Amino acid sequence: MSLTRNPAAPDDSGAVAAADVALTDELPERLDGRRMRAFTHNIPAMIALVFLTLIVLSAVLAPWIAPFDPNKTELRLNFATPWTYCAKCSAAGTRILGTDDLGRDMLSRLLYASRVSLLVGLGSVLVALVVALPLGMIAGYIGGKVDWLLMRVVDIILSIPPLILVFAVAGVLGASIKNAIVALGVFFTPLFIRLIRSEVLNLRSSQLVETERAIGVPDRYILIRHVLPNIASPLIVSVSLNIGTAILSEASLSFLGLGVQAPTASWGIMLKSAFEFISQHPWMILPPSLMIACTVLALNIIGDGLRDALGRVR
Amino acid sequence: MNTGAVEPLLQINHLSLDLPTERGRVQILDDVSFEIRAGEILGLAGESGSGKTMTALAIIGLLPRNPRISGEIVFDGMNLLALGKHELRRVRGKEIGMVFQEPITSLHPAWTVGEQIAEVVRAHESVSRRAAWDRAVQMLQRVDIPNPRARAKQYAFQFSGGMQQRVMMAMALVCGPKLLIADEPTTALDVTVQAQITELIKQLQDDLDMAVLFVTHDLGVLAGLAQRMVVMYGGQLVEQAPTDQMFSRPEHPYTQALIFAAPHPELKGQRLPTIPGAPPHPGMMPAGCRFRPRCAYAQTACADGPISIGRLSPAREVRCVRAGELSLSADIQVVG
Amino acid sequence: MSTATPLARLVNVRKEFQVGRAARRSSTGGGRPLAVAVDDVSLEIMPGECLGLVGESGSGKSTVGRLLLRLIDPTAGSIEFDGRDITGFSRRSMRDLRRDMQAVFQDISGSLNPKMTIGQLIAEPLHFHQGVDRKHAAERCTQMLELVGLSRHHLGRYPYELSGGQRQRVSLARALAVEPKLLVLDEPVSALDVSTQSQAVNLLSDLQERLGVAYLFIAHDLFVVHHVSHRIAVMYLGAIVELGAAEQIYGAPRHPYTQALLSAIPHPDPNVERTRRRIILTGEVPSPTDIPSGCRFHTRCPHAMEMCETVVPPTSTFDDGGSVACHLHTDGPGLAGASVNAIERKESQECRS
Repeated sequence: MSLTRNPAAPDDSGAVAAADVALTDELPERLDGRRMRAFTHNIPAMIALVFLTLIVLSAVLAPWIAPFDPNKTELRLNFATPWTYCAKCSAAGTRILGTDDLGRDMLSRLLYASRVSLLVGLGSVLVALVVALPLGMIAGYIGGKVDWLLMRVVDIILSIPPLILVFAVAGVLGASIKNAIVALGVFFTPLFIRLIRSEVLNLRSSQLVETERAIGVPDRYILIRHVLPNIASPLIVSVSLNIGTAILSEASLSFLGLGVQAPTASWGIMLKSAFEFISQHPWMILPPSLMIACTVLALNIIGDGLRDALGRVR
Repeated sequence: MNTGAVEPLLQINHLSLDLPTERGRVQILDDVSFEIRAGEILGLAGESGSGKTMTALAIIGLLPRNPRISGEIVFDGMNLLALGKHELRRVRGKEIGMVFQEPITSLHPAWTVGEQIAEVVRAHESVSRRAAWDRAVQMLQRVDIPNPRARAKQYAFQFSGGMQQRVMMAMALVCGPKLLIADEPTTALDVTVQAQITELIKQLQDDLDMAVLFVTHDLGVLAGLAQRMVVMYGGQLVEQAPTDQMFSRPEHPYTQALIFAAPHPELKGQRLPTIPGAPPHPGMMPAGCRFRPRCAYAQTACADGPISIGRLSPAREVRCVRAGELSLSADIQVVG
Repeated sequence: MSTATPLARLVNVRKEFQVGRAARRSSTGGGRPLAVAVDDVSLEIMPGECLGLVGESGSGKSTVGRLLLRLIDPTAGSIEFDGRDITGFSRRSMRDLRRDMQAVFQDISGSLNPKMTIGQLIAEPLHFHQGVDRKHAAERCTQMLELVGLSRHHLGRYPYELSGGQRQRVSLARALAVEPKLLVLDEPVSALDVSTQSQAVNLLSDLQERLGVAYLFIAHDLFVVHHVSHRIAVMYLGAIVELGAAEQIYGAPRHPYTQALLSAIPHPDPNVERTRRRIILTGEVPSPTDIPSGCRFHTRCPHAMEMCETVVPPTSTFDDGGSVACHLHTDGPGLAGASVNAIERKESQECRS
């Protein structure tokens, strides 16, 4: 029994496969960097990114660029409006953003407050991620009783109203930067676990995991090399959006006295003291609130931009 | 029988279509022209990238956003491309019905099946809810769904794939349209269910005396169903002929290749005839004849500029430089 | 009749699934409904043979494939591979065995990790089963790519840069890289374009002959299965209704369901299509939670008799090695012996003359 040729096809001596190679050599243009470009072409996202970078930089460089000592009180200069110049103060100079109720320079305090707020915001989300990642992946991958148990725990935590949860933890642990991070971390962890688990479940229902198992790849390797890279995108988007929530939450915590404690500055603390004097000195509330609003807005725009850019490749 | 020059029910004249993509505007359809007469079944055959689905969507006006269209689609005397949204909506469902490939995605998950069909009736005719519901049940009966009165109260997920497709057909046909467009209606179904559905379409077409545009990649299905056929490749129409002639004496090498690719059990033990390479992507069409890179009969002339469609006889058209020269046979050679 | 030991065997395998929501209650009533996906199936695959497994949705054919690969566990019955009973093998022991039994699944795009290059994907099984390091892997990967009709250029590409047909070839290259004895193919060509399907079918045939790999070829397309397989098993609602040589199944099917399957395949010949007597089955495939009593096909069978409703048909074997589970055949060839195809060809011949 010999193999014959299709009378209509060209003379393909050797496998039909050979003819295919010649034609499939023309590969489509490379699609690298497509997602990167999708983001960089998104103008609002790029502006937001620049803005955020400036804020982060200013926070990091605060010790060098802050014009005055944020904790140095100057009672005779308290409640100074922006651009007040004081020649006779212990530290002479222009208070660009004015001073607070204790005469401390608003701008310097704001810069140092950025450090705290950003640290708590970023820190809590990262802590939650570190805890949620292994738990969510394992729950989604293994399923069964382990998954069931973890989900019930998550349900319990999520059934507590968020603000109360955070306050309870912070209240029990005591108010400090570290504890604020922990409290907010407790808040975010179940959310991330849910997200990660659902992404892992999606992946499991796609053919990927089964194929890898059929090849004989150990589960550990599958989780790290196949599952993790493929759930990264939605995770990145969620993280960037949630940092904004974290910053707002920190502000709420500190506003209510459960987060950072005075004399440390955070945007929430500054809001708190500004709020006390809002009827007499309304302008005081502007610097911290604008800072919070703009930072969170920037984070949200970046998050949306990432979501658009990192969407499904196909 | 009326032997005079009857106006065709649907006439597509020089239809070209551009759509925006990531890489800029890309041509999807190029100078497509064909017609459908009242009461006839026309088969539209092609693979992915051929433009067959886009043609169907263009007729019914459901193209993705920002299309750039030129040409005419004349249905019952009206140019559908010139109609406004409201007028087009009146045509859809009432004069032209459409059935898609995946019924589960076209059916509303939260409405009962009866409600969905009744909605079509009420959208086009002013009848009471009761009357519309009765029409819906009647239609379910027509498409051979057992216990129509009871099943009309059920939801889409309670039906199997084949049943869902029948529901889709009920929705498409309840207002008695003159034309049914079926875009790969059986592709997602089991093979025995496919047979049921094609039988149903044949039957309904006969009962309701309507025209059918049956779009598919499976030539075999058209052999028993369509009176005339149109083959598309790379956004262009490459051959048009009555079904008998198309199968016994194809004129375009692609048509012949498609026929060879259909199931021929005598070939066991030999290689199946193949078409080397893959269909081109829109926007990446070769110059000259679009089938040239894969054609067994290609010559240098095939690469010179766009190939125009030539009429071989009143009923046959083919887009090939070598039309008439090649005597292509549809008989597969069996060896051994 | 060879006395060789089968490479793989399924013996009286049964697989049940618990269906979560009680959309449909099982006929036994009470308790959570049970879907019987695979019901008492026994199969053998000889070394180097291609066994086709044909069925529609709900037939259980994909489940059989996964049971054989031990990706899921049977509720009852045993699975043997290479002479050993692997039903109870641990995950670790299975991993070692997987070198000899590989798989290609239907959802090609889903099976390839979009973050890895083709080269990395093909090298993966090599790394895990043969301990091949990165340097030597490239050479072997190129070899595999060329075997399936691709080229070294593809090594650095990502799956989304390739067409459907090319991705399918990559999956094949991966599966064959470690030179398995058995390859389970679950609907390998159904997602491909018509013109690409024939290429893929030819490639699968070629590779099978060249490499001597055994195939379990699972598909719903009887024509494709018939072209590649030596023997074919037809499944309906979890059971094998007919088994035999590919030519016999396609040319002279014994079971009414097989005949209907065959009849449903459209012929690319208008004359044949117009004149042939088509078997159109009535009704729908019953749900696996509610399998009909007696012969499971009796609710749709055009030849159903009274006893079909109550008595489960025994499996009858024939001299040509075929077997069928149908009451019509319990006393030798019955009504269905004269094949549908034979009738069709006669009619179409008459028509032409």
